[in-house]
Amino acid sequence: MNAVVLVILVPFLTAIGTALLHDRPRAESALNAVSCLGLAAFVFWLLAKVDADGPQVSMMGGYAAPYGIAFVADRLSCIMLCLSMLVASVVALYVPWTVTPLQQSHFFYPLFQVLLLGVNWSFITGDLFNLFVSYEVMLIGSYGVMMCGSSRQQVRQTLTYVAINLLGGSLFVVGLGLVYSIVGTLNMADIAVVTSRLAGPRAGMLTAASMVLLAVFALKAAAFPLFFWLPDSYPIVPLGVNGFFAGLLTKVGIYSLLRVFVMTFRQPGNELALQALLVASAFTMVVGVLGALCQWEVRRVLSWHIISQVGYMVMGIGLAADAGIATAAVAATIFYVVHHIVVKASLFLVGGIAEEISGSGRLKEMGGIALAAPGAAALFFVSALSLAGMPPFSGFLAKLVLVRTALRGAHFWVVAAAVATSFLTLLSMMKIWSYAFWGDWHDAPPRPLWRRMAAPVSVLVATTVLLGLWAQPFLRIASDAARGIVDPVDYVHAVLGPEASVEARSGVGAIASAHLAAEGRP
Amino acid sequence: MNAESPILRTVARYAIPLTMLVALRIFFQGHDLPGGGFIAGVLLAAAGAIHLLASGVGGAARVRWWRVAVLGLLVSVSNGIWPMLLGHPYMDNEFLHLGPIHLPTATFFDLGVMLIVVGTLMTIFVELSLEKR
Repeated sequence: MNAVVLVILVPFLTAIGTALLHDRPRAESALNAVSCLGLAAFVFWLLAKVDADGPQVSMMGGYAAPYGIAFVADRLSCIMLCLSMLVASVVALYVPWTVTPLQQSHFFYPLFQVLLLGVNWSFITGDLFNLFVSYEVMLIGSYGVMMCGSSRQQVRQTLTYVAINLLGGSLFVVGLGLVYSIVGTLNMADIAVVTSRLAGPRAGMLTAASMVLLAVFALKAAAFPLFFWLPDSYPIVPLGVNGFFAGLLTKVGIYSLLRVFVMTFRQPGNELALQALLVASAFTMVVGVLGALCQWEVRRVLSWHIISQVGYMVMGIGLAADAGIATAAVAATIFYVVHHIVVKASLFLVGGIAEEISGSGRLKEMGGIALAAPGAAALFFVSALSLAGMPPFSGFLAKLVLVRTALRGAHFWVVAAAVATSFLTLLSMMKIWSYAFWGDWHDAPPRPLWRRMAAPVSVLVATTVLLGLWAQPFLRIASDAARGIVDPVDYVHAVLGPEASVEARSGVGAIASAHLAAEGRP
Repeated sequence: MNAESPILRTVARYAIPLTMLVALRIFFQGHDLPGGGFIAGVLLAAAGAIHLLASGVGGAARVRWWRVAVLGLLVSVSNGIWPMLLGHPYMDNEFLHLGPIHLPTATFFDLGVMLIVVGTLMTIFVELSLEKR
């Protein structure tokens, strides 16, 4: 279905349109919001269609797979697209109240759309090299958005962010070259077919080469020990769009790990990468939450929490090394990603409201917001409890599913880390609550602007309640999506045609492909 | 370089149209030989640079060159939509048959690339010329 390409075409055209409307800020922000809402409606429709009819493929320029570039929408892609457009729509309705004229004159809206373009692109592409291109587009958008306003601090921190991501980008190309030299293709479905039949020294070589890509995706996801760039760069992102950064960008790394290391690389020995992730995940969780506990600014606390939360998702991917629980582990990861994107974005956006009300982001200069703006306090309360994993919100369920899967696989030490992190998360959320929201309010009533900012955020908060109370349909689709990743029969058929016969995996990777054997390909 | 230099102005009077002609030639030969939108754009921007040196930045600064780049992006991106309306994949190539000329739609993609390159380079040149020393 060629309409799949709309998920990148619409942000692209909107970026152009908002740039042409540069002299009329109101029209620019209106176009930005309308485009996001329209595309959000489309991707939810696409999810329903993919859920009913299987993966949808569009080959760029009509070149056939595996040579042309495939854009593939399967369940996982569509879930990620729905989340990205949900958060983008909320952010698009939130930023008109927070973007300064200076930031607007630095092309804030076009750059935001370029960022969205890159994120959507990375979710839809079915080609490993194209994934690299989408990363670069996303990064260019994020550099620009980060620099909007160009304060001294922004310039300094963006420089670090650019340097670290340039390094990541170079490693990505190196890794792709190594992988290509071993498997001879970059189409993900084709790699899955080829690697599942790979054995002997070439399988080992591929495992070694894939470690380069593992480092790239771990850097993007901010997993231990490659997380150090995040806590310094995220606090300087302009208010409002930081919700999108926090919600989506590290999750592109998580998505890539799922797509590439669980679905695409299927050679014997690939478990090694996943086992390494499992070890890294425990460190990521603990280090992230300890970092959060010793911060005194709202944005910094929340940024460190991104790292600790990434740990849970990496843990789910790591558990997939165990073939017996692979599908359950991937399903738990996907559900966790859904929960996390919604909650993290809403926490950053509520944090922005708290800063707007008290005029400062430092915890010791804040206080009494619960009296001045009870609505904002309620939004924070729900999101914070959900992040820490309190019932009945989505965080509780997401952690429950994940921990149960880990217990089935008898990984007790990682469960211990996850539970301890959860309590420390609650502690650090209580710190924000007691400093920023508790206490007396002595000033005049706050400007009513915060109500307009809170309205879109309440949609996200309502989503986390919904995910907790009415989880069955979401868990069902997450587990169907997981099955499509662990055994990508439908995906391979949709891209390469029905003659690419696929068997279910036993252990890791057991696709037998009749037509490839006939051709005598490796 | 002194903006009032008569030698430079005389050379520029001939060099600019000549560069533009070469750019046009290279643009169209890009269909099946080395060349195309990017190189043509660079050549056009080189002509623009000569103009900046010979006649000063005043005239060129009145044009908002980044809009040229955005327009080029619009041409390139929307060129791919044309095949979609006919039920083909995005960025598929179609041929327009205009009498004896068979024009591939990829030409318009290249035209967009050319505009992007001209717009971007001229923005940089003008901004650098306007910078206070």
